[in-house]
Amino acid sequence: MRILLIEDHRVLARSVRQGLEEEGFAVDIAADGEEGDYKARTAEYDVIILDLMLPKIDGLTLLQNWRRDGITTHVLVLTARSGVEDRVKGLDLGADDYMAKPFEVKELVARLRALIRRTHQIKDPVLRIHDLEIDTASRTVKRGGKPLVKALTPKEYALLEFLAFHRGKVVTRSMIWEHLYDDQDENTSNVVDVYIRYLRNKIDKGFDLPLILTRWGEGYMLRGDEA
Amino acid sequence: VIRSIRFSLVVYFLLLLTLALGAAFGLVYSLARQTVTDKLDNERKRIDAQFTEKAHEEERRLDEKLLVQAQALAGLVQVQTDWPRLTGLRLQALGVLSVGATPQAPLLMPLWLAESVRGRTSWELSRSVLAELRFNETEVLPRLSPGLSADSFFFQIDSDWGSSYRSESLVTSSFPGNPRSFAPTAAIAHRFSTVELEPNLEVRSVQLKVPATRMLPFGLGWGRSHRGNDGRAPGTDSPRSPGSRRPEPGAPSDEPTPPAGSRPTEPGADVRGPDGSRAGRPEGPRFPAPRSPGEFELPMRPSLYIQCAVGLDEYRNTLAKYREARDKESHDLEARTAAGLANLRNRLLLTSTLTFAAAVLGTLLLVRRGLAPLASLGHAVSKVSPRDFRLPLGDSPMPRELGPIVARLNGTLGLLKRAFEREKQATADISHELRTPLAAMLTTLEIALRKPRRPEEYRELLEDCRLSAQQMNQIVERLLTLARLDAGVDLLRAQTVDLAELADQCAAVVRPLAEARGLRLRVQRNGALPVATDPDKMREVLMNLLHNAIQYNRPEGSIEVQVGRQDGQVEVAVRDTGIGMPAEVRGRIFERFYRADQARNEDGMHAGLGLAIVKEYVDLMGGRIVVDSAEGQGSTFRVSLPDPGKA
Repeated sequence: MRILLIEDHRVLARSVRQGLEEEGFAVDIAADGEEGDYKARTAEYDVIILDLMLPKIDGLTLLQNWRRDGITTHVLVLTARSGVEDRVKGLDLGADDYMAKPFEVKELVARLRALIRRTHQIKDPVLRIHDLEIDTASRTVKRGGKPLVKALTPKEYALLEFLAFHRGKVVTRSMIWEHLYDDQDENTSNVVDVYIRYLRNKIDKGFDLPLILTRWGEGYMLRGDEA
Repeated sequence: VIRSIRFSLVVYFLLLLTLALGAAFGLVYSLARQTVTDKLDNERKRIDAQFTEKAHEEERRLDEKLLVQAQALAGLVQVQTDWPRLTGLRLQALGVLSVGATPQAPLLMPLWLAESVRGRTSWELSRSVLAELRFNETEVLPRLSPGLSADSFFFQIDSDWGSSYRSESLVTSSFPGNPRSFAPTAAIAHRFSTVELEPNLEVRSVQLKVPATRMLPFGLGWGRSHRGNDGRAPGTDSPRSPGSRRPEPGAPSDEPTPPAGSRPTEPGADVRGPDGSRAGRPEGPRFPAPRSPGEFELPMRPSLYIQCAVGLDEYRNTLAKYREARDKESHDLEARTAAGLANLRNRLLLTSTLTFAAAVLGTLLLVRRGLAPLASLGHAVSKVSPRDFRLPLGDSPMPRELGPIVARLNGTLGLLKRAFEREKQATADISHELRTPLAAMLTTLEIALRKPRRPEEYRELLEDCRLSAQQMNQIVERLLTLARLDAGVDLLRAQTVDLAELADQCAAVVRPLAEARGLRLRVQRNGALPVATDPDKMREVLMNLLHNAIQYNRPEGSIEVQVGRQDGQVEVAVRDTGIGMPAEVRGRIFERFYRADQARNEDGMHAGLGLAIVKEYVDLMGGRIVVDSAEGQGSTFRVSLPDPGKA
């Protein structure tokens, strides 16, 4: 899941990024309004975390402009202002959630996941695909009612979740790459194939029905309910 | 001490009204009373005059009656007197003719001769033989005047020949004075007087001199002396005697003289004689001074002297009745006047009371109405709260008198509102500024504690924590600085400082930072520039300005510090080649928590407090700070301090 964090306080941005990355998110950082605007318009993000007090262009203006221009990416507003008025104003201008500083990273992560589920119109935090259960809240995966023999790394889990959100549909390598890696990552999209192999080893190995399918020339797909 | 405007206004107004009403009341009343009193006096005078007139009338009537009675008496006495003797005497005169025939003629001759000659002897002679006066009172008096009481009617008849008669009522007393003291030339004369017959018996008397007509023709001498008025009936106007100075009784007189001794108004009071001289007591009848015996003059014709008097009781009773009537009328008049005045007074009082009552009500209403704007202003003021600083006065315009108050109040409320908002904003700003580093620190710590990490990772995270804590510390320090400045406890520790040297020092501190950003930093100075100021605060000011110049400069820009004298002031100017700022930003640049841009430098340490502190410090040092700036062309901050060399 790729997140855009627009925050000018470097220490805070660094900490949040580290925290989110350790949860399997890919995090891009923008240090001011202009940069944030540019990134939001050029890349695809699952959620944008937006600080309101920003150099150059302030958060509320950014939000207003995005909504006006039809950018519907979920926005979580993060600000030091905690007054009801500020919160209402932010929500009115099209923010999807609101968090006041200081906050706990755990809560931020939970809210981000909730926003992502909303993006994919999933209410149940547990995704079920055949005999595969993905608990998006606790980020645990079961196959045939039992936990996996070898636990998934955050990156592998993020890949599985991404495939699960798009089950029955083919997702291209670049889509996967864009959602799993931030803009600072040096890796190329080949790394996606490597992670698909890891994931197959952990999910499909030892089971009769392979869930991760390869569409040659197109990409990968998690088996849908119909097949 | 005035507690209530309404109360005091009402009281003062009513006091004024009371004064005015009192004055009007007094004026009207005194005028009316003056008029009424004048009228009353006139009326009284009229009544008095009427009374006097009546008294005179009464006296005249009395006198007339007396005179008539005296004349009647005179007639009667002549009728009743024993004339035969006189006739006999008269016949004796014929004896002269019979001197020869009568034997005793020669004897009588001298007498007759004496008789025919005017002389004392002759007179004495004839007097002794003249008739005695007779009078039958019981028969005469009723005829004289019906109903006349014999007890109160006195008369005395004297004659030239010595015989006299006194009425029976004059038993013990007699008329004082000489009845014969009329002028001898006047045949008929009369005069009135008031005399005291007896002690405590005053009477009105008339003295009448009439010729004894029945004696005519008696003696030639007498006949000759008569001046041709003999035939006149008594009672008619007596002839005017050339020598007589006495006013004619009965004739109209210029000034009616009341009877002496009994002035009608006040009996017993001072009496004025006809000559105007004062007399102590009623003098009684006024007679001509008696002539000395040597001057005795024989009357040409014997006269009767009738003195006749009535008691004054009736007269006085009448007068008393008149007086009573007068007094009653006077009294009535006074009573009516007093009643009229009382009525006027009551009416005035009633009018005043009604006016007063109306004024009380009117004043209350007017004052209430007049104070209504004040009340509404008070109401509006009471509506002011920290949530709403507006003065809810509505559309009704305030009266001119309250205009300044309302304006001032609005101004003050505006200031208060701004102060309140600033306070609220400051609290929000402070919490905001502290929250971001706090959030950073908490997040970092959370990440650090999430799982075991390598030592390098911990070191990195701890370094982040330290940075955040440092930032918080700096913000707190600055807030404390401002709080101290606000509280006025941050005192200036002035000493002589070389400003140029200080600028150099500061430039040296920030130069690495500037150069790291590719900025050129230059200090322009002309030798030492000593000023008396607080070096710590001045350094703080310069450091802040230099940091800002670095922070908001463009890449490859420059910073120039100029130290010198300017217009009698010592001035430090810090010029940058940065983005500059528009006018509205320039106006707010020294406000707390105001940032032209929300940007922070890389360590995130600018909270918008630097320039606020700079301004406060410069103010404290007695200097001035101004900023020139044009957008895109950089800004120049000039700090000017008083030049100690000039002072």
